[in-house]
Amino acid sequence: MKKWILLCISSLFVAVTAPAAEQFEPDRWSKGLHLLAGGGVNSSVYSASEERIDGGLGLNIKTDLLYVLDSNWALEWSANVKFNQVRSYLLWDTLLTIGVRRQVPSISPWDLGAPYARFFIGRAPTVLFLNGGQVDQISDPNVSRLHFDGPVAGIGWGALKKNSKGQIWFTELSFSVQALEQEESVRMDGDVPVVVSSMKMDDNSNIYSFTWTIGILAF
Amino acid sequence: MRSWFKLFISMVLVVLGPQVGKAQQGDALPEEAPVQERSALEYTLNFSTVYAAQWAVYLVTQEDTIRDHGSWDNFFHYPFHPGFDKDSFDYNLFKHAWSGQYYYLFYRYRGYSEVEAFTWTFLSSLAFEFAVETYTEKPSIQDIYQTPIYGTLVGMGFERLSAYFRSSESIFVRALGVVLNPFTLLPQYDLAAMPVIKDETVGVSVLWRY
Repeated sequence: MKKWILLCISSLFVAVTAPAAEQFEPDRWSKGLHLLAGGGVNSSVYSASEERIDGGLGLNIKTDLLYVLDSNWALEWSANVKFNQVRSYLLWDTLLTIGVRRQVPSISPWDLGAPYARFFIGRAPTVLFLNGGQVDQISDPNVSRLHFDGPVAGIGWGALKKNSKGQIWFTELSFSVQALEQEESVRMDGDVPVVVSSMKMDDNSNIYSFTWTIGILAF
Repeated sequence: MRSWFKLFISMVLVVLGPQVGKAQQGDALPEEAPVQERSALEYTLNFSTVYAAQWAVYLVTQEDTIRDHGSWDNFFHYPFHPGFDKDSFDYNLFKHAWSGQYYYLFYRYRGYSEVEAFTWTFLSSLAFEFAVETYTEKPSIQDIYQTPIYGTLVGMGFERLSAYFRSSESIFVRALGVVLNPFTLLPQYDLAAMPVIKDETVGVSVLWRY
C-alpha cells in the first residue's frame, strides 16, 4: 500500500510539474527521444472456443518511448499494463509492443488537440493470480498463478494538446487483440517462481481490450 | 566462488568510491545544474560506479538465491537467452521502478540532462540484466523495458518532490526531501567508501568528511 501511495504521489508530481516542452509541439514533433506516460481505464473480454468472460472495467498504466523521425512520424516502444478482475481472480496484463505513430490532422472531430494514430504489435505476458483459489484444470494446490503468453496487435487514436503552462498532455483510445498461446502454472519457492507445468493452448483463447488513457509528455 | 565476487566488488569500490562526491563538490544541485560536456572517462566512471553498486546490492540482497541458483555457467550462457520472467508485479513494477529511480537520480546528480539520465539509466539497467543478474536468471524482457522507464518516471517525481521539500522552512520536511533524493547530500561533502569483508558478511564502510 505504501508503495502504491508513493508511486501515485510521484506520478502526480510528474504530471503537475512536468517540464514545459520547449521544442515539442502537439502538431510539430521534435526529433529524438520522448517519453509519454499516463493512466486510465480498460474494458476487456476473454473469449475462447467454449467460453466468454467479461473482465469488466480495470485500471491501466501506459508508457510510450518515442523516437521521433520527423515532425509527423515516430517509432514507439510501449507498455500497457492492465489490471482486471476476472471472477475472483486478478488478471495482470502487460502489452509490450513496438509500433509506429503518425499525425493525422484530417481526423479531428472535436477540438481535443492535434490528433495522431498508431499501430502496434508485440507480445503480451498475462498473469492470472489465483489468490489461494483453485481452477478446475490445476490439481497442484501450491500453484499460485497462471502465466500466459502470446502475440498482441492493436490500433490507437489520440490527441496531443499543450496547456497554458506549456506542458503537453495526451488522451488516447486504443483497441487491442491478444492471443493466449502458451499456459504455465507457477508456484513460488521463496522468492523464486518455479514453473510446475507448461502447455500449448489450442482453444482459440483471445483477450479483446478497449483502453482509454490520459497522460503527459515527461520529456 | 563468492570470494571472487567480493574481491571484484572490493576493487571497484576502492578505485571508484572516493570519486563519488568529490568531482562535483560545490556544484549546484542537479535540478539547477547546467547540462555539461563530459569526457569519455567521466561517462565510464559514472557508469562503473552504478555497475559496482548493482553488484554490491545484488550480493547482499540475493545471497540465498545466488547460493541456490547461481553459477558462472549461467552468467555466460543466459545473456543469449532473454525471455519473459515469471515474477509478480510486486517485483516487476515496484522493486524495479524503485531501483531504476536510484540510477536516474544518480545520473541527474552527476549533472546529466533528463534525456541523458534516462539513456544512462537504460544502459545501467541493461548491464544489470545482462551482466549481473544472469548469474542466477535469464535477462527479463519486462525488466529491460520497465526498470528504466518506470524508474525514470518515479525518479523525475522524486527529484521534483525532493526539491520542493528541501525548500521548506521545516527541518523535518527538508529531511524528507533528502530521503527522497539522497544524492542531494553528496555535492556538499567528501565521501569515500571502503568494503568490509568477513567470512559470512559483506558490507561497506562509508567515510563522510564535512
